[in-house]
Amino acid sequence: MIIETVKSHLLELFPEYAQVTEHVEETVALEEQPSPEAKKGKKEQLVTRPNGLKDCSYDACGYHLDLQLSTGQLLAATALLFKNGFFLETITGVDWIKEKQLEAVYDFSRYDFDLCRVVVRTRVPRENPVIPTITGIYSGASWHERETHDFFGIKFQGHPHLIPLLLPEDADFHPLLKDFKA
Amino acid sequence: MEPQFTEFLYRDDILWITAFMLGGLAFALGPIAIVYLFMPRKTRQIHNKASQAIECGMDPIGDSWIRYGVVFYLYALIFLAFDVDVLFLFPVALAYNDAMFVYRDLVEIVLFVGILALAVIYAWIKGVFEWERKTYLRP
Amino acid sequence: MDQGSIRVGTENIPSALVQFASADKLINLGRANSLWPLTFGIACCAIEMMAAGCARFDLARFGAEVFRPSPRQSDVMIVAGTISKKMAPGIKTLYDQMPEPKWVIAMGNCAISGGPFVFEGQYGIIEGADQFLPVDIYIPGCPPRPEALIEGIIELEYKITGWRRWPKVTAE
Repeated sequence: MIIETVKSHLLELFPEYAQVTEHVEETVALEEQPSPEAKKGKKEQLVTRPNGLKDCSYDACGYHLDLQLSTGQLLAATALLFKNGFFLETITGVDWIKEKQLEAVYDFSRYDFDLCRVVVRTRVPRENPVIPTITGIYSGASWHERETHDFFGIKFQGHPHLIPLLLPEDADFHPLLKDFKA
Repeated sequence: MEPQFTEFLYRDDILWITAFMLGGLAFALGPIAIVYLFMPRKTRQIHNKASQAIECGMDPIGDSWIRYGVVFYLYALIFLAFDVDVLFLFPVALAYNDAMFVYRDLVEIVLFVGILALAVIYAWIKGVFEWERKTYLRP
Repeated sequence: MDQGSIRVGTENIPSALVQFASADKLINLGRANSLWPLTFGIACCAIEMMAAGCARFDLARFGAEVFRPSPRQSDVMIVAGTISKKMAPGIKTLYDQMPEPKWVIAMGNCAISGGPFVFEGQYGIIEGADQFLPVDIYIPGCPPRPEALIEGIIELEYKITGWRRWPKVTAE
């Protein structure tokens, strides 16, 4: 079936569904994801593996795969997704104030043969949120990253034109942070 | 008596032509003059941006003199060729007025228009009337 | 107000070179019955404005159906929707670019006073079009029905000419 083919292609890229569930309350530093070796494994073994690893069904979550990366791996994952024909749906942010981290969430999708939606997440420390931009791969990410920068303060390194998209041009506040009081 | 007769007609013709020309100018320039007399001389401003080029309220990006397809120019050129044809046909009714040489005059005019139409046929064969605008992808 | 001059805050606009006395009434009647709006639907009230322009609630019978895309050809700017702080300079520029005589209708609660988006600490919108525009007619509603927009236009006609097209209806 076509959906199997698509998902096997994806499994070349993302060997396992890695949802981060641990919350470290004390430490402030950037957490490496719980299975970094699996991520390295992802990058090295680009062979097809048997499918069947869906932690979250589409009916329950709305997406098929969920992947959490470090910022260094983000560009590689995005490039692989681009090669597999996914398009970028949106980029948004989440403010994990208890863990003092900001998270950028990227939604990728393709529906030309069969529906497949992939979510990619990255976490950065709240004091210095810097994420490399993916506008080199998906130039449509330009406005999404501007909006995320606008509302969360995440700086995207290498972005050609990181000015506010929705807020006035001289706005220096980031409204969607949880400690934003007007 | 003959020269006086023709002179009289000539003066009347000149008067008619002048009257029509002035009437045409009045039609063309009259509304502009009327508007200039009746318009309020300023409009209420917040930002003093009344004379800015309109780009839906935003500051205009780029020049308004843009590059456009050359097919428009070619169409205008061919229209000009036709238009000059028509211009030459205006005095035909007056000049070719002889009831004796009707067919001769017809053949003469058809030849004249035919030679002028050769320009249009040349353009036709050259493909001026294919409306294919080549668009180039910007790098 | 002097005959023929327009008041702008504290400054008067110099009037035309040729003045009319009683023909002014006729000219105002012409202006009122052919108000060309500038298409300025920003948010949800734009849908109601579009509905008012369509067949069921016809604006064409008031002469106001031709929504001009260019401010240079329009008489009235119907500010329909929430005015965000980012949009405000654009609105000011468009208002400047309209020629006299011009009017402004603030349609909907957001254009009147910020509407449902006013809360302590709001950072994004301007609370009302009359913060920076001289508004002539306010049409309350969220969104106002197309009949309300029509009533607003009739009210503007009354403001221009002093003659009301249809009598005011009060609830009994």
